[in-house]
Amino acid sequence: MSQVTLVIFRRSPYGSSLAREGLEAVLAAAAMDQTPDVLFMGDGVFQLMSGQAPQQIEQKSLYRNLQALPMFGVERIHVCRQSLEVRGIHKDTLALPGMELELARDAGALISRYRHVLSF
Amino acid sequence: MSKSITIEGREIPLDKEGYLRNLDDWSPAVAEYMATSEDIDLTEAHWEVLRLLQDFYRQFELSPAMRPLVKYVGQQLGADKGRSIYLMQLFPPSPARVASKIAGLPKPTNCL
Repeated sequence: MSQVTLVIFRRSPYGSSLAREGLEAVLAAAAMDQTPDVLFMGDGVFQLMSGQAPQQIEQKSLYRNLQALPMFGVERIHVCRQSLEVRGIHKDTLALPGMELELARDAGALISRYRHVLSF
Repeated sequence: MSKSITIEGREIPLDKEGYLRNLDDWSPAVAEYMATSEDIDLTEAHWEVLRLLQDFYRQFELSPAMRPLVKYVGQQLGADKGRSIYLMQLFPPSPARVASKIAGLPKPTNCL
């Protein structure tokens, strides 16, 4: 266990402010040299889809913001495989440049490896 | 609290920490003004980093904190410039904060 903290993104990108709050938490931690691991599951997998058009609701693009993660030291993200399957999303449609995407077969087992878990 | 500056005949609103309220208000003259208020004389080395910061913002829609800034500069301008000491010399005392301001970007949100 090299990392002690996992941040989980569970919500759709714009339905609430949780997706953005979670990202801010990751970026703040990374800036303090405490880069956490991240897992996208549930509706959180929608955050990884391109083609977001948040200008119409006067929001910044969360998808663009997420692409900055490698700059902050997060180069690999975990994605719950089952969450993708039940939503009919193919892994290949989730292209985030510069980031390695790892499908988690068993999200529960993954989560249990961490001492601290932040859920957004 | 609101303040504003007048540059090239335009009144430009700033927030209470001196950052632009509207990113579209930025111009090189605004950068010169911001730099002067931070006691910095802008040279080509400064402009190079400022342009890069603006690229970063266009790409990711956020202002980088120190670590990502160092990494991005290293990727784009080479390893000898992608070091915090280099950026510290250009934009003391806090490169991410000071350079974002001069480049007309919002304060880095994760700049604690």
